[in-house]
Amino acid sequence: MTITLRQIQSRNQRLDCRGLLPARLARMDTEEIQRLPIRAGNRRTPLLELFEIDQDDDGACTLHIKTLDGRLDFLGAGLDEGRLLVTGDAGDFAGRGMQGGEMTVQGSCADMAGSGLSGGVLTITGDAGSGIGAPGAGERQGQRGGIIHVRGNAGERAGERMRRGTLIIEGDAGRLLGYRMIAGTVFAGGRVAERAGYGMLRGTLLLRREPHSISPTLRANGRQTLAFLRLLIDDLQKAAGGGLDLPTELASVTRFLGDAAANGRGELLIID
Amino acid sequence: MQLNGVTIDDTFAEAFGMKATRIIITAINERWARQAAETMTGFATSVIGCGVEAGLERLLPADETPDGRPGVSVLLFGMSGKELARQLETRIGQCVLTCPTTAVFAGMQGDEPLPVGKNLRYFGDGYQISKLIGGKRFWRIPVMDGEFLAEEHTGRCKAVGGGNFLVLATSSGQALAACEAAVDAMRQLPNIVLPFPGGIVRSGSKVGSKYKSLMASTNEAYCPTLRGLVASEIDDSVGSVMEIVVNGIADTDVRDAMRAGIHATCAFGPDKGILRISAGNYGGKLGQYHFPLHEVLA
Repeated sequence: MTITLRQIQSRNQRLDCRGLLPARLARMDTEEIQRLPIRAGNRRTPLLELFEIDQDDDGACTLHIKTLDGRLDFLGAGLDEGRLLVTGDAGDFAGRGMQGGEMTVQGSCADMAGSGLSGGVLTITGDAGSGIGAPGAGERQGQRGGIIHVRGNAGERAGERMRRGTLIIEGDAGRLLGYRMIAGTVFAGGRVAERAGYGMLRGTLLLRREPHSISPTLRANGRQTLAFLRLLIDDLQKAAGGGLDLPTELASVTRFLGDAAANGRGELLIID
Repeated sequence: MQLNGVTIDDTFAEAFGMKATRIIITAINERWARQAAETMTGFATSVIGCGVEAGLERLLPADETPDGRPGVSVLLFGMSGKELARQLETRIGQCVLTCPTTAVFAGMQGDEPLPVGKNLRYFGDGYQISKLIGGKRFWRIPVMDGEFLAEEHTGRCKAVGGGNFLVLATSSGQALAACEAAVDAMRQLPNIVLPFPGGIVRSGSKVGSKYKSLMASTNEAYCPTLRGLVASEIDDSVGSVMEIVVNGIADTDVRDAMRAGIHATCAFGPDKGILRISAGNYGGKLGQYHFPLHEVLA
């Protein structure tokens, strides 16, 4: 079933959209969907007052949400199966805690998109705010699996405390990319601001361009040709559906190790 | 039955159920990939003395390998999964890890994983790096020429070992020439290896010996120099017997390889000294797989 929710009008309040998941809505009848409470500001509002609802019994498990502004928070939070398509901008915490399925935002996301994501694929065709894939408040780990793919730019602290999985930023990345990263892979195709890899313990930061600066606590390891890079590049291309600006032949990289300030053994690789 | 004037004995080859695995070795170029593969399969002719039977399955062009470098596909066969795992790890550790520029990858998904890099990683003495790529775990072990990349596991499957046929010829030179052609034909096929030197055995064995400590000894019935002394299977015209042993992933792989090999051998015909084709068996009581020569060629 494909369910389409079309936001009726832009509002001043933020909408907490957690619970709007394709598989959950597919199990409900029309009345249940219409009555579904959505927190708008400090009160609960039936879905029907906020969205026009269309249902198409086409056998798919898809939810299509058309937004008018970026004040819809927690879109796709906890998604574990099915497909969620968001047309327009999303608010904070889009794809928060995703465990599976596929979420595409055809627009930009505010902060903390993919926070604590552990599975599935989150694609953002526009830009992402700060803390993409970062841990939620009180959490020890950020992204723990799956794929986050940002076609535009990302803000500060992308990949913070990342434990596993793949984060692809095709555009520019803000300060503190891979901040306190524990493991996993982050690729940035554009410019990278200062302090990339700050406090990283393990994991791989793969940069297409020379970053703004290299932290003095990342130790120069020289130019290397690493056999695993070909596998990693193939995997990144597959995750991104192709089109990433990456070499097809075995590339050499300039490698930095650290962060020594955290006794880390991560690596920052700049493709030559 | 005759094939190009060569007599095909009405007998069968007796083969055994084994466990098999496949790995892919890559290197900076084909020379070093092949070097590593030949080194790790060099002493792997028979489970009787080597613990495992192994060989090169085929060369892989760069676009068929995981890391985009030239590679070699290697098959290993063991009588038990435990021994296969032990031999695999030892041989990769001593022969592939040590070989310049190599990397090793899983060559199959099987019913049970066999460790490849899982334990070899400790050679990195704490500096090894784990990398999860596409759902598979790889180990990057720092070595003096860079990094040795090893996938954590490879797969294991049931297999068939010990398919064979005997080539009875007028002389050793003629037997060898025909067997070389057979080996070339058989090696074109997938999922098989010919574990003996150059794919050919000149010392076919029987089970047991007059010496209690030996589990196998020479197959005197096919030794030309014992004709007249023992119950010989060869007549006066036969001056040399050679055997080709084939292991495969499935019985159909073994059957196809035997068929290709026998046809290639018989193409030489009696004029070039090829007189008879026979096969080795143990009366049909030991092996689960029987390959009657007449059925194989039917």
